[in-house]
Amino acid sequence: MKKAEIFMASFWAALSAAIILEVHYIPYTKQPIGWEKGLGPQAGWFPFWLAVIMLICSLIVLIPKVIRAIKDGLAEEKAFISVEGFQAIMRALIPMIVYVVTLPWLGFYLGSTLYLIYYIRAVGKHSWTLSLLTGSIFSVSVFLIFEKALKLTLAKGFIEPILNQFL
Amino acid sequence: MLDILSGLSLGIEVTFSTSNLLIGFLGVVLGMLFGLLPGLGPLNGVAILLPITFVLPPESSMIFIAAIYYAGTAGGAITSITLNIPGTPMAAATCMDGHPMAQKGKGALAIFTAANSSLIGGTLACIGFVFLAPPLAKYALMFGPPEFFALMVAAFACFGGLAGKSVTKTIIMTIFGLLLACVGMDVMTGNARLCFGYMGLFNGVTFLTAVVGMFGIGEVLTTIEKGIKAKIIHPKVTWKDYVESLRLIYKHKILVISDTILGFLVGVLPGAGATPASFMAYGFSKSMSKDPKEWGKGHAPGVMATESSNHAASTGAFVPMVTLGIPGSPLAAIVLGGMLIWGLVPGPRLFIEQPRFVWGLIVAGFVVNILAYIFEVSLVPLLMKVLKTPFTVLTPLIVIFCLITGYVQNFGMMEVVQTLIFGVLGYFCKKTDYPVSPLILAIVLGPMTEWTFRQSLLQGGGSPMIFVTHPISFVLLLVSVVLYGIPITRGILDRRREKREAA
Repeated sequence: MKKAEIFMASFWAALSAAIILEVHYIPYTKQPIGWEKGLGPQAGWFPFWLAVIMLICSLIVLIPKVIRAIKDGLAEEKAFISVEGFQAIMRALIPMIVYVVTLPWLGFYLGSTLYLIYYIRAVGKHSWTLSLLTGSIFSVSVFLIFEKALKLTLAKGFIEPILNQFL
Repeated sequence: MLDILSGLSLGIEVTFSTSNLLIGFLGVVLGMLFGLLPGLGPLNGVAILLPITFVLPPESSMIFIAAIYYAGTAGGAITSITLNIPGTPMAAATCMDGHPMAQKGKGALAIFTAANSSLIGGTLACIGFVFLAPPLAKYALMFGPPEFFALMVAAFACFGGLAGKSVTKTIIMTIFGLLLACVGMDVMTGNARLCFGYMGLFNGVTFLTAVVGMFGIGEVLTTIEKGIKAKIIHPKVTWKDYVESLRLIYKHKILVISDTILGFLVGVLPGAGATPASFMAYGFSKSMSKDPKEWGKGHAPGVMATESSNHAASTGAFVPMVTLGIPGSPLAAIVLGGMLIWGLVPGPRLFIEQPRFVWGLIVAGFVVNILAYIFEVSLVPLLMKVLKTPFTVLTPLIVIFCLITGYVQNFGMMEVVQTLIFGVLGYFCKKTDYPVSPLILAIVLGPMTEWTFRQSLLQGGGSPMIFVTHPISFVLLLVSVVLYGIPITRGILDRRREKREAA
């Protein structure tokens, strides 16, 4: 857990530092952070000082952890994640990322169907019948609910001309 | 009194339309499913299903959400009792006595006791709502920007001081949420803030991408890592158990009523919500009971205490949300975000400007409570089957729903990617004990916090003294300092003691 804790605290510290830079130092995105007389704070005042407090807080979390890590070494008393846990997460996360990355081409309907079929069959190790049925029923019902009933148009990818015939 | 009666009759008119009752019933079914499935609770259900409400009128939306909320809270108890895994966080305390009861072969009795206690807790809390909310709203009508700003700070402090493990981590998450709320166009000057030169961020970060990312995808990832391996105990359900549960509750009526009151009050306070309320009620009733040794071994009053208080707290959390615009629980924070999208302005004027919404919500509270109860009690054996749904089928379905939710915010891929990023971030936050609820609260209240802050300063001629000279805002800010101060000083004292003991 030590490494993960240090990683997270550094992440917040880096994020707040980036925001401080963005608000006050980078010329293109700079905002006035002053306090106008009679009017109160300018546009950048609120985010700037929030980021400063956030930076201080993340250092309060980070520094003792780093000091302890230097003293006792980085050997973990409790692993952040077990090997099986990591494998399980990756089995779920990678298809998820592939689904999102291919979304602009496949669209929600084809993409979801393929994702469901793959996940239920390959990760869940269920029967082909269940995976094919879930995949197709889900996509058809989403199509009926979103496109027909709610009139919300989801991205359809390259099969858009085909799907539009059903509208 | 007369206002209340006319309000209630308006609420009845709103709730008892065919379409709203149907929507309520649909919400009960969906909420029950979310409540039953381990790893997902009404909070996740509301987060994932909220976008569906954007095409409905606000009253119907609220009935739908309330139904998910109540049914989910009720359904979670069944999972706690039969699986010993909390179906929802609110039902975690129910495991302590509910599961031992199931092991003793009294599972059906435990389920009926839970259902009956929930009904009593929920209904009594709705009555409390009716009498507490209107005067509170009337009082809050006097509030100006400084008071509201102080109120928001107090809400953040409640989330920080009472709910989190580490105050510093809670403050980090609160500020992160406030910063996310700053992203995009500044409403007062039109400047593009925190966009990092990327105009895709000009519209800001919508709170729903954070909500479905963290509570949908993040939760799924956490559950996948833990893996659900548990044995279901199938209780035999008979009507005798039902009658027996009523008899037991009658015997312990004082316990049920006092835990309902406790739960309701904890719910009304911002921050705490139903989960801590149920643990507090359990501890309270155990210490008051004549036979504390029986508790934890399958003692029916243990189930009564947790289930009556968590339902009461769920209702109580809506009181500050409707009257002050401050959510009383993480879930109420999500609903508050939904209200803004429905075009409502949460706060005391809601009672005057949107009576149909407010009274519809109150009456719907009674109705969906009863609907959820009937649904649960009559279908226990069927509901047990839901528990067998494999998580590997649910995972992709939930993920797709979350990503669609992200997409429909702005009809762009940007929000889909945001949702996924929030999901992964939510997983890491959960693992390293960074609380997610203050973040959600801050994203929802962020714009109002900054706006009231700057409005107050305009009003005060640029001097921050205005927060001190207004008595209500002064008291609230003082309370916030104390709320943040308690855990900080406790932490310092603990560390000193540790050092002394080590030396």
